[in-house]
Amino acid sequence: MSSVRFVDVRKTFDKVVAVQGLDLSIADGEFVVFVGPSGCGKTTSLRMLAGLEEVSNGQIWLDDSDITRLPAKERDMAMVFQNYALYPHMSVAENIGFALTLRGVPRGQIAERVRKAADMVQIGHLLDRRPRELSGGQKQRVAVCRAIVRDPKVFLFDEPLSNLDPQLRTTARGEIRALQRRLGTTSVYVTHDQIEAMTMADRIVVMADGAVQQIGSPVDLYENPANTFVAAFIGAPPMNIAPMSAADGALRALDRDFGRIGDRLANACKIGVRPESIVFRDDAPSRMSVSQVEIIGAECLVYGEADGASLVARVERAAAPRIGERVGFDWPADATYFFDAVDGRRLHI
Amino acid sequence: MLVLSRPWRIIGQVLLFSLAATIVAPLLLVVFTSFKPPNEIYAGLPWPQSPTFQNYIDVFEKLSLAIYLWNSIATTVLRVAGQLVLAVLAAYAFARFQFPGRGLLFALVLGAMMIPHQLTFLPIYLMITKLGWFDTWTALIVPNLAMPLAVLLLRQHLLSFPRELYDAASMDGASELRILWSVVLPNLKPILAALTIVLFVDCWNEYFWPLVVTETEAAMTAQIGVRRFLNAEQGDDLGPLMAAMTIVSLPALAVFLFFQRQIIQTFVSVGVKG
Ligand SMILES: Nc1ncnc2c1ncn2[C@@H]1O[C@H](COP(=O)(O)OP(=O)(O)O)[C@@H](O)[C@H]1O
Ligand SMILES: [Mg+2]
Repeated sequence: MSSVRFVDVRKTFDKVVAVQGLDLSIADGEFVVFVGPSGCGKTTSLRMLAGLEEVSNGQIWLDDSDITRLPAKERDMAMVFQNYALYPHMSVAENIGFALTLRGVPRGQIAERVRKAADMVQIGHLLDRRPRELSGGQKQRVAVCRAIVRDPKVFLFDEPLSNLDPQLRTTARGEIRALQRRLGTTSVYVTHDQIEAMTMADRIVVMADGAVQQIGSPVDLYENPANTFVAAFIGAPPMNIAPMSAADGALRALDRDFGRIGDRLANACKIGVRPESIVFRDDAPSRMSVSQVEIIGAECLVYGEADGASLVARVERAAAPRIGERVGFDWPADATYFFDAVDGRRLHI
Repeated sequence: MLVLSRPWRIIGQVLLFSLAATIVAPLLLVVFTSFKPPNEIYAGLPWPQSPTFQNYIDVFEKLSLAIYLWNSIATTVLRVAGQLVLAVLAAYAFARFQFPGRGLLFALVLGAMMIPHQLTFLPIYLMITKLGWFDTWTALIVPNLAMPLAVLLLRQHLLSFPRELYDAASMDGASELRILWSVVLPNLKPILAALTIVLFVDCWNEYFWPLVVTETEAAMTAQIGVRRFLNAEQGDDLGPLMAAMTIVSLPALAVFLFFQRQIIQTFVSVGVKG
């Protein structure tokens, strides 16, 4: 049993505010992913939870104890670092067993636990090697193995896959998630890759500029983004955001009339349409000039311009128009999102 | 690799050769003379015609060089060990911890490097005598334990050490001392070996300070002890003096060869990963 709670946690470095007011409860066994662009404070949040960075303000709780001021070595959490941070002078087995050695576990028991953990991540044959004799993927497995061997209260991952090539990354994320399900250990995972976040997380925390934008399940974030930032960050390709114009009290966007949807919205509104909601139909009022078509498999990405905004659509390959064509397009009315033009907040109309 | 043209190569080799010769020739002269019987010392030939070990026997029998050597070796080993321990601890603190006054303290360390010994020896000498340390090992070891250059070098090395290694060790449950011992030190072997050479040779060759603070066999080092063969009234006893000098230069050479191998080995095994 180990649940984690952040209570109004802040972190400032001199004048830089790295994390502002993080409130989050993580349930036992949950896999939570922090996602956001580089420099948004993900690593800092993780390091505060690990005890590697002091908390400027607020508290961090592990189960029923306040661990805000507890040193890292007493928190019983394990971390996988982006560059793996394997001890260069130790063999793989020594790397994995180091934490157990420090805890005074008897030698024979260490060897047994190291072997068991190594077999779980399929590196049993590498135990005598030095880190410099390993490939990137192997190092990453050793780093994961070093974390699981101790059976810690919480796993922490800081972009553990970002140094791997894309194919390896896809298999590795599945393996990490399967391993975590099997062990049932509460996990916090940091990444800048929204696909990693969507595919792995029970819950996602989207961050930007040190502030939480939205917390929710992957489906939640996809279907109900709280603001334009989340809408544009989640999904591949991201949601199209287009400005609205008001003429004589009638609202228009992407050549489509929205009538009078509340007077206060005039001019102060943007609309969002997911690329996969768009269909091409000649009798539709909206027109798009196609500038590029990318085939990504069964589907195509169609880039172009409509009503002064750049736009991307994701459609079946057979339905794709040709480059240079000007085509009509449409989308279901209930797939339209409205956002505040100033602060980007989602508007429910 | 840069390849020099033939004439330049020859010129370079001649230059280097003569440079090496000016250094090696006096050393050879010392070694040759140490094997000469008394009647050959001032004879014309540089090398002995009827070589003898008598000078070497004399230095141990007449001079008790063994005691001086023991003083030298023991104080040097203790001093170098102490210097390394202090420098590693200080450098680790400067590199790893944030604490008030860190910048000022480090500036003081750097400043200490600029002050010549000639300025400080007198006050230190007075302190030593007041403490009753005159003519003891303590006088040779303690005043020299702080080694600013070593602190500076180690700190620079530690600053380039990946932060994640410290973090990983903390997460694994290691205390700071444990991190230093089990994670940092094993990766500092090359620089520690290089420092050991420098510190050892520096200490071993020291002449002025032992001359000032030692007087008897209780603490006198071999480097000072060999002076007893210099005698203004009866004339210098050159044969045993040269023998003693030869013996005294051996330990520094041994240390150099041993640790140099360590350095090269580490660089070879680390350097190939490219
Ligand atoms: N040790 C530090 N000193 C000063 N500023 C820092 C430090 N660590 C991080 N920052 C700043 O805090 C912000 C968040 O950094 P970080 O948490 O590493 O972002 P992320 O992991 O999301 O890319 C950045 O603006 C970064 O420059
Ligand atoms: Mg980061």
